[in-house]
Amino acid sequence: MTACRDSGGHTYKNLFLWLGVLGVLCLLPFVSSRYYVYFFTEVIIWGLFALSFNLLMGHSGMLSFGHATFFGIGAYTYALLTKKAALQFSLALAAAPVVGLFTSVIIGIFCVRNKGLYFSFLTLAFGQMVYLILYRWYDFTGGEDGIINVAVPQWLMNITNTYYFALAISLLCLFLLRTITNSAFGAVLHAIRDNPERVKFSGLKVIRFQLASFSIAGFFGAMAGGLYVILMKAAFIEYIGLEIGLLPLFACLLGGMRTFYGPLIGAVVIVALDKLLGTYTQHWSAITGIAVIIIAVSFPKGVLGFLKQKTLGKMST
Amino acid sequence: MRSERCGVSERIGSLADLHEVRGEIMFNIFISGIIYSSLVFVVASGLILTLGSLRIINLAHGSLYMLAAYLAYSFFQLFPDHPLYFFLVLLIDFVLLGFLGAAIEVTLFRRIYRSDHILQLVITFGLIWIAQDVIRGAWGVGLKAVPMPEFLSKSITFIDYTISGYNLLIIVVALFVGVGLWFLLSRTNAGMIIRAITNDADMTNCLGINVPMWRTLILGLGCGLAGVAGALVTPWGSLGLGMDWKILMDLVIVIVVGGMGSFTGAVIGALILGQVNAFGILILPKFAIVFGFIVMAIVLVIRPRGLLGRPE
Repeated sequence: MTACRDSGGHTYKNLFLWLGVLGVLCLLPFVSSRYYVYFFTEVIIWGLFALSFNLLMGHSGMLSFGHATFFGIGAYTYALLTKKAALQFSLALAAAPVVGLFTSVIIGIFCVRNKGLYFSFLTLAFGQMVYLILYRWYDFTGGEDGIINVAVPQWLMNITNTYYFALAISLLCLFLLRTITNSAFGAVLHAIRDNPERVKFSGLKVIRFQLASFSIAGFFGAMAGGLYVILMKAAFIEYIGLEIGLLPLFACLLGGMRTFYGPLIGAVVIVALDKLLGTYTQHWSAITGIAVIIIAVSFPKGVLGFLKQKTLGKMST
Repeated sequence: MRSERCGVSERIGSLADLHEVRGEIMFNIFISGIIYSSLVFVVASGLILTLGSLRIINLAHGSLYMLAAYLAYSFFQLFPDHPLYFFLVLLIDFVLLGFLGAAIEVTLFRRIYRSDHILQLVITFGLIWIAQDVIRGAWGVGLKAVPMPEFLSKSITFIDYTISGYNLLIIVVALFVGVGLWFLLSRTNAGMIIRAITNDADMTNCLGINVPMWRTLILGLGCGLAGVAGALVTPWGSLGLGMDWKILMDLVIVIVVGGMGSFTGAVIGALILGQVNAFGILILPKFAIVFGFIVMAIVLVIRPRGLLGRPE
């Protein structure tokens, strides 16, 4: 239960670690080239997306194969609102997570009634449904061509500003997610993950908590999608596809899904792998597949979970 | 069915003729639905067999089906067009995919029976990625097509209606697989063991039955069935890299609608899916694929465990 909470004795150490990381992130654009600023903007956005996914998988024990749906919906909401409705930047960006929340409540109502495999299947099916609708509705969404030349304000045309903007929004979201998982609500989610029967016996409505978790994850997933469009200045149909939906899964597995910050480490690795493998090899998907299998079989707790277990083991001996 | 061949528009002379033509079109749509149902059922039956007794849902089942189709494509190019060779390819695909399934069980699944089900799903998902890359590497990204074998392109006419030999073969194979599995599971000693493993694998193991070996055999048989279906589908149209996702979605619909682990449910689910797809194309061609998902959502709202699923 306490796996995702800080233990009291480490508060100062954690504070210094936090300030250190924050300082490095803030100073990054001054010391590195534009390429790395771009790289870390991507890391930040994928990190946020992976964190939102982990609220479902790691904290609530619900494996969603359709999380890209909300990423895509966030992306398309921003792109369509600025393109077709010529809406203001801030309103369009605020609309992205709200529409994500709205759709995730609707999809969630159908999905969370079902447990385990059924839940995963249903999220997969709904994800494909939304994908197909956006793909075939050419007049509105541009189908396979996507939406290009999405408008962003002048000051966001600069990659450094985009970086700081994404960083600020993501840190806010991270803070909110952290508060949610450390709250009583988060404790209930952990309890549902570990033993839904007992939570039910203690008089709590399991389905409502799961629906809330699904909706919150959808909200933050769509936020990440909106940020990604601001970075790319285009929305493509791939954003909503399965490959994107599996990236956070990979990030959580790699970093450790029972930890809060694990997915962030995973996000750094997958963005780096994507850039490296993309330039050196064609066989991105096979390498990813093999890596996922090896990690899942040999390190089921992920990198951070593995380290945590090691340090805890040392402390106890 | 008139004996002389003429266009539909010329034949609509009177109202009676119109009814006859409309009936024929409806029949053809119905049959095309039935054929798709039969095909999906053959793939789904293999998946359900493994799902029940291994307690792992093999998401890569659709990828194995795609691999089988590509293998069959290569074999059909190798062999001359002869009925004997056609059935030989079916057999080869069954055996090859069966061995592949058994190998996957021995090397991978055996390690993860006791894992979290999230990890199990993730691992089978990894297999999808690998299969996709292997197929892309071996056969390329282009669409692949083989000509219809000659003996299957002939039409057979029953009293009033015509059906092509190929369509008839698919239906026959599906019936054969359905009846064969029913016989295997309910009338033989092996079936009894499989049902026992499905109910309680640990207890079956205690009875002195070699459960790991049986699981290898079961996954082999299940993947072999995907192999047969893959070989069967090859002459239908062109093979593309999207096949695995498409069939996986259909499998999800069939299994969820029918109720997880139920063969009768799979038959019903496949029949519903086939008809919904076939008539969906008639009503709203652009969004026909979505209808299957809508049916699934409706079924789950009414019966969260599927039509024939039992509450756990």
